Amino acid sequence: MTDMMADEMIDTLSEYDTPICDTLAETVKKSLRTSDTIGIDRCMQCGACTASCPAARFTDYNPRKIIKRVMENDISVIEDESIWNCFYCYTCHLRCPRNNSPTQVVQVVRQMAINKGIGLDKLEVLFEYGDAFAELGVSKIPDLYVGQMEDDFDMRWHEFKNNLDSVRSELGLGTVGVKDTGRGEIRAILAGIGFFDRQEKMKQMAEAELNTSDEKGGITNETN
Amino acid sequence: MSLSNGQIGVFICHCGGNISDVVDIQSVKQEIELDNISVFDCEYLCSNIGQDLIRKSIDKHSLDKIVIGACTPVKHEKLFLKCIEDVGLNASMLEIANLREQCSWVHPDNLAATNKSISLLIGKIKRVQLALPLTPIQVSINPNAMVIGGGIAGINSALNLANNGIHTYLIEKDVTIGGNAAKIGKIFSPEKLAEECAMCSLSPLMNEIGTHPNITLLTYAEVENVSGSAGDFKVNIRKKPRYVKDNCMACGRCSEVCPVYVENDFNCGVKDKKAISMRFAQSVPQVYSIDSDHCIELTGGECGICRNVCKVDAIDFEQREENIELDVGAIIVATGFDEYDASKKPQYGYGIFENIVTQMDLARILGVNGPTLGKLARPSDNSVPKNIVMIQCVGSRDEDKSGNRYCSRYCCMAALKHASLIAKKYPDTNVTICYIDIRAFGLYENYYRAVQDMGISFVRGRPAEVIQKANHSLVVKVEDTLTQELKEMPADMVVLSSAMEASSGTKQIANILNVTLSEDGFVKEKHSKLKSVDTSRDGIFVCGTAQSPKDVTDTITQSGLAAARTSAFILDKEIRLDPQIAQIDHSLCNNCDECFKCPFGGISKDVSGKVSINPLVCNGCGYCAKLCSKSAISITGYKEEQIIAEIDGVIEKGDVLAFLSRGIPYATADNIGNSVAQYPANVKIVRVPTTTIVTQAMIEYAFEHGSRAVLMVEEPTDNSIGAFIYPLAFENFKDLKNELGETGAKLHFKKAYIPHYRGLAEIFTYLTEMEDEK
Repeated sequence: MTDMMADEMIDTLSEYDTPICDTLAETVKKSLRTSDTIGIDRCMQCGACTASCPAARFTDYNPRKIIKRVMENDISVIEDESIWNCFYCYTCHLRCPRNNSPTQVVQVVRQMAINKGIGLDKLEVLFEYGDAFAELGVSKIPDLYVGQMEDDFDMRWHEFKNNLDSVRSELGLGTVGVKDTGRGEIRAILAGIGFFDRQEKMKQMAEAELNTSDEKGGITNETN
Repeated sequence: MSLSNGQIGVFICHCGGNISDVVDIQSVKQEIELDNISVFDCEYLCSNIGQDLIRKSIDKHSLDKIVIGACTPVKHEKLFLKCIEDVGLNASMLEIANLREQCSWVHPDNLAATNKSISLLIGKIKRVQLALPLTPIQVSINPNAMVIGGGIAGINSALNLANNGIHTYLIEKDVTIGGNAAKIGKIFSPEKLAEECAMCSLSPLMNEIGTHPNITLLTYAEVENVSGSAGDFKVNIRKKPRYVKDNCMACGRCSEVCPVYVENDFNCGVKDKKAISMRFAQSVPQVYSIDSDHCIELTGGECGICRNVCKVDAIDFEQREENIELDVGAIIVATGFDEYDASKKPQYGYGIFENIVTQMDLARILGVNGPTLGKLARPSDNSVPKNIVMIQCVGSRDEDKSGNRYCSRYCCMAALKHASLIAKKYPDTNVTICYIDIRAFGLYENYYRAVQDMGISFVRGRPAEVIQKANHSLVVKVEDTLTQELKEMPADMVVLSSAMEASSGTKQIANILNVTLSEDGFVKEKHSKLKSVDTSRDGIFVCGTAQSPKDVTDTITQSGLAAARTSAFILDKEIRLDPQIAQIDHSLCNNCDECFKCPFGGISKDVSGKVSINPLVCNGCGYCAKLCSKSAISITGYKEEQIIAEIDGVIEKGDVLAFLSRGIPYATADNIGNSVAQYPANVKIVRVPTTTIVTQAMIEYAFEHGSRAVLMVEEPTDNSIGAFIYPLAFENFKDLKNELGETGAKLHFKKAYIPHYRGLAEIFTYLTEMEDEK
């Protein structure tokens, strides 16, 4: 695929992913990433999402405030570092009394940030998910997080991981993972929907961003 | 036909500009005025001046048929009928063209609206020329009333009826009347900051029910079936045996000696009640009853100790279920609410952790006749809780499938009331209320202020979850949204303000009575303001929490209104039924009995073996007319030639003809006008009882005269008529489509929902545009 075709493909994706609208709330509602019935306009700021949020417990991420800023069309929300702290547990989605979904909203907001070249440094660890899909047909825990899992759960995590097959068979489940032919199919689907092109493009953007920020860093140091 | 030579009067209403600002009334008048047609116009036809104009003109010009061009017939048809009947015309000699909701309000273009007005009026003129006089059907109203449900709503409406001199049957499914109001202990009141004793208000009313000469109380009884119609209902009641006769003196000796303890659902399921007992001390009637599931004697064992100690020989193990038949003229549904099952929100731990209770549980705990005799104690160890957290909106204001969208209206005040009671009696206990919005509407704001002054804490936020730690202590996780702080609040007891839901009895009775429910499961009133206690069926009224969530004060207010409406209905003594019902031509009938399939049970054989239609039951839906292969049955006022005459008048080349059933579909079309939406003026609406009466001849006539498309809009399947009619109407549509051959592609079928008026407007517009492309 030529670069131009890849660019076109990404533009098409953006049309569905982060459609250009008059307001942030409209973009969120029209985005393919959010449910058709998402109740963003009906949010009553009750805070059930934030109270339920594991990320809010340990960081300054506050899903209720993210929704408020989206409702108020505060575009600076895409520059907010905290949006990168959601890890898609969907508890807010489950507990919202207004059929709203901060976790889906944050996915759209993140993509808007990436489109503007913001937050690319947060992506590095996420690229591993994409690579794993391409290679194995399923997701895997990124290397960076493995160390953290060991910190949090000691060897229990390793035990679980090593005995996963026997645990699954006790529960009457098959082995995890996708067979070779299945992997080929998944790869074909991902290629067909432009996933690889998009991931490649983002990797390039992230790399370019990393280089320029190094240069900028150098300049700043000098002026200081 | 000599009828067409009669003198027709056409009256056009300006509606104070609502019609005349868009429609050029003078052009309309010029266009339709003929030798035998006199045309009049008036600023407000529904005013006394307008009605006078109609009556005087009928007299002066010897008019014998009347066409009115005004607002929707749904609004003033009855008024105008009375007006022409006052001066001796038969009711069938009136036709109303809908020039407002279905013309001036939906077509802003003056010329288009004027032309449509002309065609609608001509349609009605042609139709009224074929009108035949109908004999009005009068039925005398049974002077008895029935109230279903013996809670505070039913008690109050029954007393009001009885005091108005109307004999009233009060039916209660429990062994005593009193309902939920008997359980709540104290009640809040808008003008007083003190809490009143609920039983002190309720008990005298209950006693009055028990002794009132105009009230027949049937407890432990349920309505099984209701047939007939407004003014003449036949009711079947099933009365369960209580195994204690009415001569019981309520001395209590039986309960003292009974060896069996059972769960007391009056007191949060605590096992403090005997198998022979009274629900609570103030029960009415003051008659004990035996729990047949747990009594040793009634479950096949040998005991009978209660019988031995009874001094008046009231115990009767042989008592059997009774079936009672009642005839009543009107019915009030007062079947109350059920508390929302808070275990549907597992994150709040109800039913999992012992010290999590609902406001109703807390009301019992604080009640002096409750499980702890009024002592504030948490269930796990009976200790006085130091910290109590209340969680509002549990199952309310919640779009999730497990919750309810509405605000339950009572819970903010119930939480404030309980917080106040606790603060007064247990000053060392801290109460925190987690709320989203405090809804202390109207004068209740005073109460809210007073509770704030008592030092109760308020946290604005919907808690995420409640978890239990050691020693049954609880932690409530919440974001204080005002300070943006995440809090983990320790609590010894958590109180959930559970939603108020339509009771299972309400749903059951709505099904038996065939009255419409709202999407939230409550009995739907006919009009939220003008007919706020009338149900979808004449002669059946509703009040209290069967109609919507409300507190005791509002319930009492509304039950008084329901009684007033019911009295007015019964005291009319006679009801006039809509004469537009099925009629049979016996000379065509071949006794095939197909029409006996009437889903409302309105058709049977009379003593001479002839098919007979019961005017009390028939609603004129047209189901039987469609089933009749000999065309022996028709709906009076809606004969084929009458409809074709109207089509002949309204249809011009390129028009869309829409047959709308007279219930929901016609109201939905009116709603387009009420909501200031629009559709093209070449959509012409003809009102029919249901679309089952639409025939091939009608449709072919429309197409021959240039109609571009024909649409049939039917009652939705969740409506009492649509449930039966819709499948048949759809069958009729498919048959017509087949019979029409190629032209069938231009015939369309839809159902309507009142709130979805935009959808109907879009279909209208789509049909005018779609056929353009061809």
